[in-house]
Amino acid sequence: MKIIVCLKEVVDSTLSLDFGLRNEVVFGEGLPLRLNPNDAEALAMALALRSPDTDSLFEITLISIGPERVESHLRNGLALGADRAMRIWDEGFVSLSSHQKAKLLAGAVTLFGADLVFTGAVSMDTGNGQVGPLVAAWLDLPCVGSVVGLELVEEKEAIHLTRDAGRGEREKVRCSLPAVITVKGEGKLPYASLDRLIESKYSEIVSLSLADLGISPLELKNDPTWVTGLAYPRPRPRKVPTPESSLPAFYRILKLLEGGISRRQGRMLEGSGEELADQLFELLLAEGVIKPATGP
Amino acid sequence: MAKPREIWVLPEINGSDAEISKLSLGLLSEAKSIAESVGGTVTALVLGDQTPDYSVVLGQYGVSSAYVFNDPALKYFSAGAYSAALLAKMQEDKPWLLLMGHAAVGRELAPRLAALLETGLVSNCARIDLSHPESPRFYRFVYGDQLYQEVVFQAAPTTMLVTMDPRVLNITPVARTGKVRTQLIEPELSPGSIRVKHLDFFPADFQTVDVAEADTIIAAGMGAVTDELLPLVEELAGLIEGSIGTTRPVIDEGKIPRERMIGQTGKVVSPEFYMALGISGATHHVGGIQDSGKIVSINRDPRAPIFQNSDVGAAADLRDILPKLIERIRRAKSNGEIL
Amino acid sequence: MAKYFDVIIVGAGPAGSMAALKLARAGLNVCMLERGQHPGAKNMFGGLLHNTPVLNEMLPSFWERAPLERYVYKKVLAFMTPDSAVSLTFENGNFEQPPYNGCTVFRPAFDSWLAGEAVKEGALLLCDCTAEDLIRKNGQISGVTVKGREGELRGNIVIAADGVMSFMAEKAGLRRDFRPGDLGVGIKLLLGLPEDTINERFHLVRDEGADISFLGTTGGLCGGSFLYTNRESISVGMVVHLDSLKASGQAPYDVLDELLEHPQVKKLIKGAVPLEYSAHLIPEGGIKSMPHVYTGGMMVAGDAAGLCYTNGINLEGINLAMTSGVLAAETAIEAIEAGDYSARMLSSYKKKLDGSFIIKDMKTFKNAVGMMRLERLSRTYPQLLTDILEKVYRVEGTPRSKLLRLARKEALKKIGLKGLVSDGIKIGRSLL
Ligand SMILES: Cc1cc2nc3c(=O)[nH]c(=O)nc-3n(C[C@H](O)[C@H](O)[C@H](O)COP(=O)(O)OP(=O)(O)OC[C@H]3O[C@@H](n4cnc5c(N)ncnc54)[C@H](O)[C@@H]3O)c2cc1C
Ligand SMILES: Cc1cc2nc3c(=O)[nH]c(=O)nc-3n(C[C@H](O)[C@H](O)[C@H](O)COP(=O)(O)OP(=O)(O)OC[C@H]3O[C@@H](n4cnc5c(N)ncnc54)[C@H](O)[C@@H]3O)c2cc1C
Ligand SMILES: Nc1ncnc2c1ncn2[C@@H]1O[C@H](COP(=O)(O)O)[C@@H](O)[C@H]1O
Repeated sequence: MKIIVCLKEVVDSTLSLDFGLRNEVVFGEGLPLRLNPNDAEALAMALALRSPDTDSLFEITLISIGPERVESHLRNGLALGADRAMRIWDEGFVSLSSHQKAKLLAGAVTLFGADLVFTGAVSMDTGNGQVGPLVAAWLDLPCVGSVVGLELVEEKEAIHLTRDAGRGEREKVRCSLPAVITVKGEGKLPYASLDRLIESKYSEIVSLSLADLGISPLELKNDPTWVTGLAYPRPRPRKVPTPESSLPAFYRILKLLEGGISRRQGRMLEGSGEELADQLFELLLAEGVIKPATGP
Repeated sequence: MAKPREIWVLPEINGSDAEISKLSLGLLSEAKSIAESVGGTVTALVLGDQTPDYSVVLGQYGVSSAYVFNDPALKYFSAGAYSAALLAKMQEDKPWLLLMGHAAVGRELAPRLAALLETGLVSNCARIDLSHPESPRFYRFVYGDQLYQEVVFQAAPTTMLVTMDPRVLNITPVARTGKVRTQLIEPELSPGSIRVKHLDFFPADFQTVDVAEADTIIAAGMGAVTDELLPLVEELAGLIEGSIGTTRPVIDEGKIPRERMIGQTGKVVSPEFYMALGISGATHHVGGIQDSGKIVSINRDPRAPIFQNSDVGAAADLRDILPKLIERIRRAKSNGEIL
Repeated sequence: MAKYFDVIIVGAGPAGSMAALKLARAGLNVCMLERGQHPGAKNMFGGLLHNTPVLNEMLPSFWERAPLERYVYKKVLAFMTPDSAVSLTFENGNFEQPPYNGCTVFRPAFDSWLAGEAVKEGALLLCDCTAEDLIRKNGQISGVTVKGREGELRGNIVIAADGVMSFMAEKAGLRRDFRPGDLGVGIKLLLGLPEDTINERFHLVRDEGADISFLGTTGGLCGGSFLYTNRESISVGMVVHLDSLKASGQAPYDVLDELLEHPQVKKLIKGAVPLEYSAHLIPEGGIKSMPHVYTGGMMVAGDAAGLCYTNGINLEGINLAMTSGVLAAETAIEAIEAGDYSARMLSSYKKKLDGSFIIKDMKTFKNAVGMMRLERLSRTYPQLLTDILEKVYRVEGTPRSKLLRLARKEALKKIGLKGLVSDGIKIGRSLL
């Protein structure tokens, strides 16, 4: 089975980037970067398909669009067991839209062929979540999103997937191959062995340009949406419950000004640990969180 | 006079749902408010197999017409089947805007439709600036909500596709309920063309349910996630069937999955019962719990701001009180006092 | 592809990278292990890269390529009391010429760049690799194992350049347990400020930078504080002795807060956005608490070898680290040529250190902090001080004479001891 895993290097937005974003450069080396967590999960999932006796049945290719820097993630993937790695980049690329990246990746998938393409469900920095489904649609492949589990089955032309169906629900589906799946998860990759790590440093990484993929610059430019600016968010449009109409105008305005944060009259429980636990227990009962056994 | 703009909206209505999700109601409200500001009509899209009649609810949110797509292949969501069903109608009617949620259905369906219709998609949109209705500006959060990105459609697209960030949706029923014109469409999808097939369904339980939809939440802050305390929090949550929520620093330490973060940059929640354990009560967090029924807090610092936002508070050390509370509930369970 | 190395270097800080560069240039097979995602990822320091001859020599005109923030044109020494400050400003045109006397740098960027230079020469760099233990063969150290990773790395010589806590030196039995008196703790706050604001506020143009040392701002603790200007940010921090911190019972951040609240400092950092707090240990035990720096199959360089000192004004470590790394590499080259990795062979590393400015300066400033008493220096002529300070600040990689002796010598020459004491001129300039 030919597998392609798409890896994206993202800005680590769990960190406070405020000043860095505003001034473009903070720490000289730019913004803190990491492998997109969903992609790490996808890679882990793809690698887990292998076992010593099925090893030869899978060929795993990693693809990343990005400058030379992103090769560190590709090499780590190779050290962990992927078979080859490709990097797509071309002169003049700065930041590409999801639409453009999907064009490039669709080109690569066509060129090399794949039974199963893994992408992340969404990238942690720009959060579009469009690349996987776009690739699938353009190549007329089925696409299953937010995959959290994967199973191989007897049947060669299909796989079973568990997807996050939202609101905590999960769904198991059968998907025919070839297919694109987008993976959800916080992916922690294991450490590669020292030997593999050293080998990976010497592995070749295929580098692909626009021309190699047979895509014209004009075709790439053709993107239906444009990002026209970046700004500092105003305070997040917060849910402001409409103030009760029975309140006098002054209080309604006050409520709106508080942005909906209304103080509550905190009643403090008093007593020893035992007593507090008892009171909390009674509270849980009174609020119906735990239900009294009915009847005698 | 320009012809009224057609706004289509796809609430994530599931035939099997007992009630329509908050996300769907939020989407309907958003569509209505867009229609009001640009002068347009709202058409809702409902897909399923033997879909029940939702027209009363749709009416309450100002929807004027609905297309109901019925087909056995639509019983469960798949982007392939849904897009196949919608494509012809969209090409025929060319709505101005199609609004979806950036959630289970919209996330997958919207980009696929965008590709098939050769149009663009603004995903996870937080705000739409309609001051120039002929060229709307869309704003979305990037970099973990630290920046706002402005996006526009190039040239005049046939249809603009937008998925809305569920966190920004407000539920606002309209005052006067109108009549909903419903048109039933049977797309007759050929079963052979459906490449993703439903096999099984695992309904949400309190452990997996999205915190935004949970009825009981046990939120664990930095004071409650030490190696010693977190298992106790989980135990308590298990006993009272509460969903675990948390604060940002806990997420950043990777102790609880990101989707459980509550607050301004996390999820806005509205459970009936919200219990804050070891949470200081920063406005960033408290901003997301305002719609909760009862808020009960435990914090060892009697001056923690969380108490001002609680209905009931207990100033106590979790290491002391949690085992006692758990023990109390256990005892009640075993002696038949509670279910 | 080598899996057996001539030299394995633990730590891609300034010491490790310079050693790797030297060895790789000599055509040797070097492997460098770094625990961070990239070199420098977890490193911090005050921010001043002193002029280091070996760096100029090995990477001529490095300042044209290295990621530097600003070169230090202006040196300020500020004596602080709780509500006032007396400061000396020292500007020297010579500081503006390459090789600059000092530059401010960010470790994440600088360390990555320096390691990259070694990689260009053929060194193998393995990041995300934390050396865990040493492997011994025939009583000599011959390799390391890496935490969480299967396999081991074997080589003829291990150079431990793994920083102040050096677990490698400890595993090799080269150092005793630390005592609080051996260590200082450095706390730093990085504050973002627009480039123009920095230039205006500190009277700088273009790439010029300022280095301010504060004395008497450590809440009665032994130590000193600093402020360096970077391009779009400033680093403010302090270095205090661990034992005095411990004795005072204060939290490091509270001590730093006190500095930030000082009216003079407040003026300088007004409007700045806190970007990052960090703290790091510093070997401050001086020459007395240096570990043994070699054993069979292994040498220790940089902070790992306790090579760092402060004379109360300058904190020097990076320059010593780079120099010692190169000396260890030179020794390794000789050993490999001779095919002898024994302790006896490697003892020439110690001799090289002893002969360099490193150990000489460390001996000179053995008790420097104690001598930097506020009252003394604040009563000296500005002219006099600038003369002295030029000598103090100018770091040339040659041994320098003891600060106090310098002061006395210059003072006697100019005004005589009596005049000096009685004059008591106030240096009236407030901070900048
Ligand atoms: C731009 C921005 C956006 C943010 N968005 C969010 C957001 O969406 N959601 C969010 O949650 N945060 C958000 N934050 C972070 C927010 O400002 C607070 O830092 C965070 O909410 C604090 O989390 P905490 O209460 O868990 O931790 P802390 O503030 O560290 O509080 C821990 C509390 O636990 C108590 N405690 C400790 N040990 C015990 C014990 N043994 N028993 C009892 N009590 C104990 C302490 O007294 C303390 O009050 C945001 C911050 C920024 C800058
Ligand atoms: C607050 C502060 C301010 C300072 N200011 C200055 C200044 O202005 N000027 C100056 O010259 N000096 C200054 N110093 C001192 C200077 O930072 C150090 O002396 C210098 O960094 C030492 O370099 P090094 O290469 O020996 O060690 P380090 O820079 O500590 O590098 C050690 C490297 O080894 C890695 N490592 C550690 N253990 C392992 C392991 N087991 N496996 C793999 N890798 C490992 C680390 O990640 C690190 O990259 C300051 C220090 C502090 C704390
Ligand atoms: N530059 C890239 N290189 C490789 N894959 C990418 C790139 N950008 C996005 N992807 C893939 O597309 C997924 C979703 O990205 P996005 O649409 O940007 O949210 C990511 O998780 C990756 O798997």
